[in-house]
Amino acid sequence: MSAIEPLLRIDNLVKHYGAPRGRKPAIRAVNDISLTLRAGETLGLVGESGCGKSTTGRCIIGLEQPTGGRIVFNGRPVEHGKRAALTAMWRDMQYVFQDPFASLNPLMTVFAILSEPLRLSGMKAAKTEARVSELMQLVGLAPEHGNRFPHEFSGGQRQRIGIARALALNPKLLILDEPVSALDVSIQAQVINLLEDLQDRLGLAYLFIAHDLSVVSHICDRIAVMYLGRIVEIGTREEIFAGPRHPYTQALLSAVPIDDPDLRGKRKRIVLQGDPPSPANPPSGCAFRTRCWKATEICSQAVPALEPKPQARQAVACHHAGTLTADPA
Amino acid sequence: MTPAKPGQPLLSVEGLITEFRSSEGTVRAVDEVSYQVWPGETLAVVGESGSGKSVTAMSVLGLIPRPPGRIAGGRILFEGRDLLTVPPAEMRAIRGKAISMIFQDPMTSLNPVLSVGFQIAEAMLAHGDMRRSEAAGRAVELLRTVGVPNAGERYHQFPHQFSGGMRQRALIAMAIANRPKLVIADEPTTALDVTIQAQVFEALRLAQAETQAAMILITHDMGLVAELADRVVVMYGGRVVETTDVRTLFHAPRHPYTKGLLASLPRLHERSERLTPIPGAPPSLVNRPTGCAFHPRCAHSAGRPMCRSEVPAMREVEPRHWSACHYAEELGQSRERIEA
Amino acid sequence: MTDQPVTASAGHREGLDVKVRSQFKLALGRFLRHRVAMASLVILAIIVVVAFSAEVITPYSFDGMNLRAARLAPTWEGGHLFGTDKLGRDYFTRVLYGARTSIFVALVVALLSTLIGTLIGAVAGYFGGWIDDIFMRFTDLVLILPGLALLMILIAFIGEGSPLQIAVILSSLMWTLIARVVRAQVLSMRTREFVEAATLSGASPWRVIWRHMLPNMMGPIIVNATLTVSSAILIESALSFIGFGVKPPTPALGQLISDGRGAMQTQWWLVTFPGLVIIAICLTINFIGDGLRDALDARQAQRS
Repeated sequence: MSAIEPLLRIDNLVKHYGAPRGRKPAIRAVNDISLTLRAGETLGLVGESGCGKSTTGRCIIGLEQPTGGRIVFNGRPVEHGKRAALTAMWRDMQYVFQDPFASLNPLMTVFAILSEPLRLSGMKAAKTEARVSELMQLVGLAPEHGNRFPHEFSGGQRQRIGIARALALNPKLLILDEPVSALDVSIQAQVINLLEDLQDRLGLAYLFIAHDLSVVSHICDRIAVMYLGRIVEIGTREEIFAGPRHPYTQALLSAVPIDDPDLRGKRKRIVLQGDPPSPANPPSGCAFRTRCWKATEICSQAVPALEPKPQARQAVACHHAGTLTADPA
Repeated sequence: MTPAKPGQPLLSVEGLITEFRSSEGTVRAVDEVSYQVWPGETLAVVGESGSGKSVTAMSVLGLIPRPPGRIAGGRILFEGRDLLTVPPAEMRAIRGKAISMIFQDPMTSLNPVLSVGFQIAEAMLAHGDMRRSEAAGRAVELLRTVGVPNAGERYHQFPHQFSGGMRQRALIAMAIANRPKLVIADEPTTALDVTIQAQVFEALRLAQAETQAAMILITHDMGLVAELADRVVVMYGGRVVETTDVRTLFHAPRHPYTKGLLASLPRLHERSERLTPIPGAPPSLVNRPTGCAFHPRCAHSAGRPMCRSEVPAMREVEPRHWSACHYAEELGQSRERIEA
Repeated sequence: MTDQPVTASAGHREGLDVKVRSQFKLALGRFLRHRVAMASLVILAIIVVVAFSAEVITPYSFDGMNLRAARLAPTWEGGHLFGTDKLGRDYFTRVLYGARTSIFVALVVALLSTLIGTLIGAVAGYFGGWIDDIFMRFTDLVLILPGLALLMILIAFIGEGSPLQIAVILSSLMWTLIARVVRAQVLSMRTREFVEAATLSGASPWRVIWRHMLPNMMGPIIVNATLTVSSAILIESALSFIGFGVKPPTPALGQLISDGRGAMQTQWWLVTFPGLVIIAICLTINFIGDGLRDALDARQAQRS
């Protein structure tokens, strides 16, 4: 792997669900997504429910079979549908699920859960035991609690177990699918700090899937904003948060409630009208045009390309991002 | 501990105790909770899972399932009447007219086989003397008030034809249909996407402006509290730990839990700084710590046996600011303001 | 930033055992509180114990003839509690041995059809696609076949009709219910996060099914196996009644009814007692199934 080759490269990923024989229109969950992720980097994939962010993550790791496109991880194309190749890849790429109550087998002890990937990779029993207690310490759990069952732990602790399982075989990339959104607010910070520590210590790359911009703003180096199956804006954290160029990104940022009562009513607030369109029947041209205050004729005719704009380093998929930011009508 | 305000509180919860029988014995979900709601104000009740914030509201509404639940003590005074002594039929009449509610999941509160407009009109007909055509007209008006576009058409549609945000708005319309004096909203935006949440905030604000109703906003989202609340009640482990007006709470909290909670929130626009979490986890109902329920997670309790042995009472630590911490005075210095 | 466990942590090893047992205890407790199910369990236990200790309980053998004592009505004093048949065989003994045969057949059927059904349902549900199509079409085929007629043909071909043989033949048609239940469970579990996590840990399909899915759906499997026991008793009785079941002289309940039906006017006991035993067994098993479902379902609801 040369220095310029990213750890993960996705080219034109497409995922459509359902009805190939065509009675109902297919759900276009992911429409032509391309992105790269370098080793040790954190990329946030942000959007609202149904925008295709989780589907993207699941396609990357092979839990879903993409309809089109190419995914190259660690210098090798991901071979969807080939179990042996995927199993080999999963040593280097792992997944942390959203719901810590659903992601652990309720009938297995923590030790059994954590030792499973180790034993299946051929590790000897004695070594496994040492590695499990190492993993538990790594995520801040007491190794002597290995013989407990998941229901004996709090939500935050269970999410730590899920993270430990993902780390068992020393992966290079973790796909984190809303890893803190199911946790109590006072626990979220613990898990975010843990993820940051682990990254520093182990040199991991993260693909951080989330709907919560404040969480993403904390942990991500770069951020990709998705809307209805496409990336509408991608750039560094500073670029996205300091100078969002896509109207949707702007609306998304302004919709986040700020926890300062003094700012109430003083902040410019973009309240989008209507709901996101259905991915089964997306609008022509730019998918966001139905809710966009800048939309003009061209927006319904051509899908805007994701490209760098004048006076901005981030890539934006908007016909009007070149013009200066205007307030919503 | 009633704040010095003119007139009578609209709702006064006094020493409420709500218990549940479970396989592991009787648990106290709500433990001597007291708070007041004044006419027209928005009171946020904040807490994490197991804090008792929702059970308190359910108790007010008389919706605690019995068994396993039981209200074991206290009073709930609404306009001076104790709701705990009101007969069930009368309670049903109060619920939906003088007090209405908005739940987290609008789908469960709407009948799937009746049109949305019809259900709103029906809510009015059930509680008021009104002709059907009049009710229908007012229902369309209400839908318009909460920002439902094409309200006239939408009136005839069914819940499944509404998106999540729309349904929540329809529910808000229904909640204010009878001009209630008090609206209880339990996590009204939690299940919604960010941009839709913003729409629902607006709807709530408009609805309140329209009816001048008081609102109890039950939430774990401090952002929502900052945007909407006048006063805040913070709950932890089944008890109220702090209550004051919203600005004081955010800028000078006097309970270590509130302080920790505010400090632990990830914030937008901030540089990637390390977060300062509260250690440990919220207590479960069955294993509540002795003394102050927060003491195992509290930095201020180190080496202080009183935190472990004595349940702290609510005290007025400064004018109109109550805290249930033995050492609330130490927390006087205000939190650094966030740079916008 | 240590994350202390919520549970009291002193002596956690012991504490753990207590916890797990208490989980199991909760389901058991719910079952024990289910009065109808408990009463049924007691009655069924008595029937089973009595049937399987027939040698100790009655002095007669099931084929011991005594023509001088033929066609006796039931009496306490005469020593023939259920009377005797036309060959003078003690009918109580016949019914006990008949019940034993029927229960044996039913248990073997429940075991075998649960095994077959679980295997087929799990494979169809897990792999999906054309495998699912083939397996489920085959299941549909077995379901729509005229069961009794097919059984008669199979039994006629295979011949001698020992209880074990009957059981195997019954099982070959009765696994469909469990196959469908297991398939539905596997389908819903395939997208559960802990199952996906196991796949990502490198677990093979067999390991995922065996180690992760099946233990988490023992509740529905046990309940349906229980219900299979009672339908097997009924079907076996029906077969014996029309003469295609267990071959004489080994008695089976349906066969006893069949033999006695000609004399129903004069010797009521020949049909009544085996009939009552069939009803008792089926009712009690169904009630036990209900109780199990309530107990286990509640546990699942609590967990999620």
